[in-house]
Amino acid sequence: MSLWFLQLIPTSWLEFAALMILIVGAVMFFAGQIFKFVPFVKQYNFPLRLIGGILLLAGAYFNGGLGVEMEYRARIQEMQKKVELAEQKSLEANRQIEKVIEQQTVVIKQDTEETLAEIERLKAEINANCELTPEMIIMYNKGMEVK
Amino acid sequence: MFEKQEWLTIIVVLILVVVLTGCASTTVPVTMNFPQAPEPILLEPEKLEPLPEDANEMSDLLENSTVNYGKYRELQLKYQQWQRWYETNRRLHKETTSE
Repeated sequence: MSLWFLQLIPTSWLEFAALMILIVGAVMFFAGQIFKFVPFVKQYNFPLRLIGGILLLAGAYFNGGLGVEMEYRARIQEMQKKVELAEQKSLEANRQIEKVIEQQTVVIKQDTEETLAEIERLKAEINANCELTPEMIIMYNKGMEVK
Repeated sequence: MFEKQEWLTIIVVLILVVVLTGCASTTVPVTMNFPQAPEPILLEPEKLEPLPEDANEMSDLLENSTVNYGKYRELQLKYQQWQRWYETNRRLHKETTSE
């Protein structure tokens, strides 16, 4: 930003400084105009008009820039609030996800344990009519091989 | 080199340029950090259990399948939660960065 250094100065100071530069510039410029016609001080009219003109211009510049600066600060503040809110919501979503995973994993493990217990209970019945051969095991394991 | 009228034009243009730079548009220097994913969905997935070579009964096969089904269901759950995490954070990012 062209006026980045203004971010370091408090808003009230900036407003006061911008206004004072404008007022002092205007006073000096018009005083210079009047001094042209006043004896004893008319030799100061040109430096006064020159410095007054520069200050007037700088004051106008700072007053214009100040509006942009204030808008900029408001946008930064608004953006920071939005980001903070989004980060809080994201953390809350993470907590919910962790909770769901924790609860559901317990259920899945219980299901597995129950099924294994059921298999154990019916072992004799299950194994009565069928026996596994080494070829069957190889074929079965092929399904989980990563190629 | 320049006529009085040209000098005046140059000065007016320079003043306008200086004054207008005060109104230059700016980008807000606030950035949103990349969100951290929850720990459980970042864990390495468990590998499926192969059927032991000394297995010779149907119940061994069933037990192995059951264990692997369980692992698949856990992975499925984590995958669904990854999608949920992504959708949530995408929405939040959109809401935050849109004007």
